[in-house]
Amino acid sequence: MRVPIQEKVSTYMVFYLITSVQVGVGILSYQSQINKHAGHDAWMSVLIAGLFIHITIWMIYVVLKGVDGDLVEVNKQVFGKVIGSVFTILYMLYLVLGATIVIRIYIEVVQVWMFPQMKVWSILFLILPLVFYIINGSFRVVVGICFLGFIVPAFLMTSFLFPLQYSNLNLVLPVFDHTFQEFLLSANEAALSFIGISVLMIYYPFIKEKEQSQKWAHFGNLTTTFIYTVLAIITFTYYNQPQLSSLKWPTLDMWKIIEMPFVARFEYAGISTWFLVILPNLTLFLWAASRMMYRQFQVSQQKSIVLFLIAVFIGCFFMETREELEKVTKVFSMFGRGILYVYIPFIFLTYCLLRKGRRK
Amino acid sequence: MKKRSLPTRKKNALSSFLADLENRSDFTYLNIKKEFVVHIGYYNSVTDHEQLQSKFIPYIKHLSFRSVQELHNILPAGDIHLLHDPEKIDDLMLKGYVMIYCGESPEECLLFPLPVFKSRQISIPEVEFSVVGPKEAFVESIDTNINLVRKRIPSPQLKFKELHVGDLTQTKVCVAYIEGVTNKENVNTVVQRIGDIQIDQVIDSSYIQQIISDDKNSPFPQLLDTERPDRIAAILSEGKVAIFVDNSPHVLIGPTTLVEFFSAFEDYFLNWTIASIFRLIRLFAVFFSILSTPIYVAVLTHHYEMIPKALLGTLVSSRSQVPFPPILEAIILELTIELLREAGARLPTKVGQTIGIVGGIVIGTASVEAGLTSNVLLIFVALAALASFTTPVYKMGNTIRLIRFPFLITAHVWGLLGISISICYIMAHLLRLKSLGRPFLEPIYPFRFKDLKDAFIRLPFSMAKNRPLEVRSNKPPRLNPGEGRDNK
Amino acid sequence: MKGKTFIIFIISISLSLIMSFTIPKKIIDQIQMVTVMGYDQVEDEMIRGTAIVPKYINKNKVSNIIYTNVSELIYENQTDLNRVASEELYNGKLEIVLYGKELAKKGMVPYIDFLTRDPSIGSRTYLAIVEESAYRLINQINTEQSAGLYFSDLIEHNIINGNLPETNLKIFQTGIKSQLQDPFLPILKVKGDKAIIEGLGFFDKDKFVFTLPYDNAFLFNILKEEVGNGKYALKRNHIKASIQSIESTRDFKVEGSKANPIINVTLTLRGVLREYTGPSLNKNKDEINKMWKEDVRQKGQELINKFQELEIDPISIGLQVKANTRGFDLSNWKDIYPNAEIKLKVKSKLIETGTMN
Repeated sequence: MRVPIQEKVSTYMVFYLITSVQVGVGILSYQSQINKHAGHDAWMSVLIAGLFIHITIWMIYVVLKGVDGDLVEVNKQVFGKVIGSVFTILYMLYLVLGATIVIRIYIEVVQVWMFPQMKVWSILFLILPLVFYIINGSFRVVVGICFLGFIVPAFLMTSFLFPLQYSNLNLVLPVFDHTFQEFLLSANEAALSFIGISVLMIYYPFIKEKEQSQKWAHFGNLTTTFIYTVLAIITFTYYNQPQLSSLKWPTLDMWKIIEMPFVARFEYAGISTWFLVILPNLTLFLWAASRMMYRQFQVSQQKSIVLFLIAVFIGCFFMETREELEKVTKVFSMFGRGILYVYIPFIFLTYCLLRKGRRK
Repeated sequence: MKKRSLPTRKKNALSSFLADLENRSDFTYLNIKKEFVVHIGYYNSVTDHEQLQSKFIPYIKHLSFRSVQELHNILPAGDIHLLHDPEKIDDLMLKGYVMIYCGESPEECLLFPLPVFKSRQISIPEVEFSVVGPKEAFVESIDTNINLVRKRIPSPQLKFKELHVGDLTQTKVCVAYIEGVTNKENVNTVVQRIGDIQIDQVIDSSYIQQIISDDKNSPFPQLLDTERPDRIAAILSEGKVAIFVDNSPHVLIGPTTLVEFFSAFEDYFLNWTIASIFRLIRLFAVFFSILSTPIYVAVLTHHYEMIPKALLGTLVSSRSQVPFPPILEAIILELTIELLREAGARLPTKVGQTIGIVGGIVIGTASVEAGLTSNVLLIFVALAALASFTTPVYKMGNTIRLIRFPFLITAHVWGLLGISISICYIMAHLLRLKSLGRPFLEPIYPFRFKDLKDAFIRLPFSMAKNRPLEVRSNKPPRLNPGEGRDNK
Repeated sequence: MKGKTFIIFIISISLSLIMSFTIPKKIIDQIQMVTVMGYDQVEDEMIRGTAIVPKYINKNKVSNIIYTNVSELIYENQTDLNRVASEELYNGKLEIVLYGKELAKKGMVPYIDFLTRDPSIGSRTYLAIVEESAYRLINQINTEQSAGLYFSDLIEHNIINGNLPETNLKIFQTGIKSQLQDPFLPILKVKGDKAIIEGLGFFDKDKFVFTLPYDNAFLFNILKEEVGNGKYALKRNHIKASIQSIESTRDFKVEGSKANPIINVTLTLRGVLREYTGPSLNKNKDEINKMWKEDVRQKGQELINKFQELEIDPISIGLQVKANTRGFDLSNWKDIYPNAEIKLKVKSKLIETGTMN
């Protein structure tokens, strides 16, 4: 499967593809998830999770470099045609589900914080055509959105300096006050925030110098790990643990303290700007899903996008309450953990065995 | 009927054509009686009368010749044609040629160029005025325009490719580029797109601009137009392509990028620090112009929490008399400004100024006092309008002003989220846009660090040793190696 | 984009915008923004809610409208207040919430829940206890500006330049949720047609238990946080001095065993003498400094002991101990704290004495 050169994107864009897909809605709420086990030390679990993702990226690259194709190709080689296509379809569903959850959680945030009376479908009618417009362009446009979706909202990072004046370092002391097991359990929670990287296996053939892109992927993951860790430390020094556990979106709550001469309550600006962070997630997931559809069944991407958009629309429509949303998110995170802990190591190992066998 | 021989038929066609000419109101026949009658015919609207009367006719009178063929040989001038095809003769005469033939039923006519140039004098640029720097602007005549550029780049590498567009107008279009510097692909794209144009008339370069644009439905202009020959010279040497169109004082430039539309050419005449700050101010003005009124609408309609407590009183009391929601208030004011601008643009300069003052002071004050609009919004709208006029390229300025309206509507419905989504729409659109097949958003995306030297800021000339990557020049370094040293 | 797609595109977008065009709006001049809210205990389970809404008449004139009502729940209260208000009431610009002393004694948790649950209320909202009743204070206040601004300015400038420790909804909430520290709030009192900061009120979890007069607020302030601009009035024997621009740093050292911790608190003060009456300053400068140091130490130790006696920990000593102890046992701390040995040490320096010797 050759990708024409004008469709390909610069190697370093992998950095933005990785970061933009890792930073999404998870970053708004991960602090009150990861502290369940390791408490105030949980920020170190983020580091552990980040390290684990580095290993995963390395595994993905070993497989992709060897196969020199995308996930569909890998599935075919590792599992054979029939079982491979089952995995491809499952992964496709995972991506569409991911997109649905991302947009639905974002809409939930907007509903809770800004417009309680907002109808889900009415905002989707505005957002989904945009997604279509972007994906319909080409992969370059999708990457462009990822790039701008990282660069433009980057200024929001400075906003997390404001809570520092109320933070108390004693809240994260003493360090290493938990057992190793607790650290790992928290890391397991933290890993969910990094889940998106597996999309790498689909856009890999679209990178100009594929082999050289690995360092950018690692660098991207490093950046996200850094962002997550720093934000976790800021959050843990700003809130004490019982308070943190009672919050749904600690990141947004922290914004409530910001007051500047020209804007009193920053979270409204922040949540709105956050759309720029959500959009790359959404477009990249759906683009990847439609790309897999094309690779597996030769359905034109334009048609499958419409199909997926309708699926996202219906999916959002049926997740009405917080509980339903949480249930689906649980399924999704199970899915994600399965990919991270089982699927990728499995294809890595199988690939290594196959390669060894072939060499002999 | 007998079948006549070919020359006879030709001859007849010519004679009937010549006879027909007499019926045209702006056609003049003169006869000079020598051994035989010499007929001179021309369209008096396009021919230089004075030259003809005072120089050409006396000269012809003193010449001795028997036929036009002989005359053709003795006339000491180039660009003379001997033709028998009536259509071609007519074409040339319409371009200002004088037709000469001998006898009553000639086989061939001699055409001698005596066109009259009725064109504007070269004047100072009015749209892209600059305080420092050259003060010449293009005029309507393409020859003059090309001359203005040639004067600045006296290099044999500067090439012009001539094309004719328009079934009816046959307008001359010249594609200019510097050989060895400009990427051939860009030139070919332009030439091919112009060649493909199917239109009966080309009145101005903006016709070409609209037709050959990559996305014709986009509100953003994708080719830069300028009236400054110095800018064209600079841009040609950067490796871009310029398109001259006859009868148009605006020359098109491609491929361009979005940021180029916000750089005034004067930036290059100022010290780079100053110029960079001006550029940043201008970019800020663009964002301010697009976003200020929508943010006002969004905050006042949905996000009252965001207003700082000290500002709250001012905003609420300024609006307390206004019966409309912020969106209506904003649209009314924006439309008023647009009306004022439109009225000012359609009227002669002096009256236009009066309209501006009357509109600005009288309508503004009156509407606040009448309680139709709040004075805070009035400030915002006026500032936004002012900011939008800082855009150096007029066409981009229009885009900036009109793009505000969708923002206003989404701001009314979804507040800041609406603005955010609108920004994403614009972003997606700009990402998809191309100028002559090159990305429009360059150097932001694809991100090219080296091209940032002349985008948001302008770094000193010593930093700009290479041509922008965007044009994919055949010769990226501006100087030949060693050339710079020779100059020392 | 091709024709058909484009049409669907436009239809979808316009449908979204048109159908949502009538989404409820909060246009600033068509709502009433509650800036001050007061709650008092009346009878058993009923609370009286009193709200101040600024009405901006023109550029420089504000009239404060007061609504009041009695009900069981706070939001029920708000709904009832809306029956009187000419426009819908919104909480988004709430500057200060006042609680009657009786209400505070019963426990604050039920009455601050809505403040954190409602996303439109900012974390910087001030909370305060009112000596008598919030209703009375609100009705007595007479100010040219918006009452919300009046109250928030009153507290804000005392935090920045006075002896009031930093306080707001976020800090109070932290204190209530934490098991290692207890919250405090400023206490306001009516004085003529103005409000006066009467002192600091300390809580056991969320129940008001103790009042510290404002004269001693400085002591708590330096124990609680690092102060940048404190003020202290020294009155001992025949000497009267006012020390201003006090910068303080604090240092906690935890020693001893887990069951018997010894906490050493060291305060470092640097101040400028601004007013003085007594024997020649030149000779007695060191003496005064010593006196100041001793005064602070003595009163500070008293205050700490008082807190221990009441089993409350507004200085967050528990947090300091936890931060310095590995495997800190939360459940035991409650028993340890009242008997823990907390030693206060003060270092002080008078860096200037103004323009006179």
